[in-house]
Amino acid sequence: MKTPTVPSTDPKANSLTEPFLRLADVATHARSAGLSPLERQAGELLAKLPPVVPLSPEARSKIGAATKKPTRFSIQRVLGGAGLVTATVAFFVWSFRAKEPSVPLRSEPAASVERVAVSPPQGSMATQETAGLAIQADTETASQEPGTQTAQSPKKAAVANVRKTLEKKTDKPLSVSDAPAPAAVPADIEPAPEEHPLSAETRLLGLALQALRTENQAQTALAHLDEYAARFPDGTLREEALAARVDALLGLDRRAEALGLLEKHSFDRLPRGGELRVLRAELRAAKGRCGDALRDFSGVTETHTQGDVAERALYGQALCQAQVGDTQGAMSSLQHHLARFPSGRFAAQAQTALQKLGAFDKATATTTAPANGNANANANANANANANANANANGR
Amino acid sequence: MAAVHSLADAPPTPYTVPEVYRLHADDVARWAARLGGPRVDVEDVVQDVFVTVTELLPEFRGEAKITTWLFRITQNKVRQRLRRARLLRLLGQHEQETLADLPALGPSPLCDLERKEAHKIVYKILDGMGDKYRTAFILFEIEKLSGDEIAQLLEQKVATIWVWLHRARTQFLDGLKRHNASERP
Repeated sequence: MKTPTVPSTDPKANSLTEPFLRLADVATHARSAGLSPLERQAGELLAKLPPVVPLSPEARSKIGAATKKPTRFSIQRVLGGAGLVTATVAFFVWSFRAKEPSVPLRSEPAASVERVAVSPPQGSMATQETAGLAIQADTETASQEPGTQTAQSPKKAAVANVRKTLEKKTDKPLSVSDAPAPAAVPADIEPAPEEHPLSAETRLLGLALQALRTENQAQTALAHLDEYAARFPDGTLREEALAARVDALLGLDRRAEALGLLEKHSFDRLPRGGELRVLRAELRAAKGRCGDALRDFSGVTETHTQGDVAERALYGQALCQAQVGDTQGAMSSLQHHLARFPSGRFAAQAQTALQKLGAFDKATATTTAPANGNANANANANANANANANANANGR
Repeated sequence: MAAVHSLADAPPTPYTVPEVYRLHADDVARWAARLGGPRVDVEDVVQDVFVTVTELLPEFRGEAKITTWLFRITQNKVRQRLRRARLLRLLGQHEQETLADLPALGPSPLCDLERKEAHKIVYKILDGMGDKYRTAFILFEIEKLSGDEIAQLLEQKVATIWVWLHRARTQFLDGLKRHNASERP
């Protein structure tokens, strides 16, 4: 390969030799000063590209063996083409059927969902809501009485049964509090052939959370969540599943993807909304996006005054303020932090950061500060922000 | 140059499939990886290419260089794959999942993440470029072939390649600008 030597970007200059230097070569070279910021960024991106992994000897021999077989106009190719067409049609049919309106159910998250497994309804509150709650129970009842099921689909049969039952029973109003206490989702239960969608959602999410929290198997959790996402793209527990996916991705140190999810979806409705917002801010700060992080931290400090989330938000806010050059704001936030959480998990770091910022502020107020003083203070703050984000992400 | 090192060693026609495979499988794999990026399975593409080679080699008369011929087949196979991947994405498959399937590439998890991220961004921008500019850009900037080598491979004049590269670079930088703008809230 020729090494480019002419640092021109004009295509007419030396058009038959090498008019360009490669962006990746120039960006990492002393001559990068002549590049625009965009060209430098492009060069850095191209320089970071991974090398090509060569074919392994196994792959070579496998492909070599496969290519020895004559395949022109073979029956396999014809069948393969037909299979592709069939699979595409099947996919469209499946996705169309999956989007059919389901039985109206309460849209509350986990707590109400767990109540699905209630005993058969005793009363007459024939509302859509109670019908939704009773579906699982009545499906079970129906399955215990052979002959009562028709050839209808399980979902339709369940709805019909619920309606019939509720029409017959008018003595006592149905009380959800009569239901037995919700049980934890057992991991080893095989899905019933006629499993209700909400039960399946709960089961899959339960499996994912169990893998994540008790078995520390983020990859397994992710597999369950993938299955969940494929089966229930608009499921009732979609947000809970997405939050669990964020946890699983962090468990695998796939932070960019976790941040992508946190930025794409809103989790404010969840009880963990504040925590997830702080997490998003920490991941943004770790990527150097302190302005964005600061908005999140500030939002959380306004709504949360106590607890771990508030402490993380206040400390993160201080570090980001220091990073964007707001020394006074950072000192004020650190003082608030120390006042509110004197023995908190970041108390020692907050104390140290406050001292450093105080010394820096004093120096800039009394003397002419060295040009790199602010940069040093900010660099320290940035390092702390990154360490903080890493610690929180790893400690999850 | 490693990328076309086997050019000089290539035997004169008539070629046999095992010979072509032995001499050029690595070239094809590298082209497939570079042209396809994170969304293609390199081994599948190589297999596809050599299945086609097995079928068409008897008709190959040596009018073009064998590497040029192989490159064109590889380019077509990768294009088909990318089209299929685009269709799958339209049907709901997430790009992130494909990205996650990449093998570990760097010495540390952080380095891995950075490389994967860079890989993803670069190929996202490349996917928005015209086909010939994309190919020329990949061969020059990523595969690091010289202008002459690219001209040979694509059967174009060297001057044409430089013009393509100039336009490709402009398109890439525009794409990067758009990407940066979309990343900002």
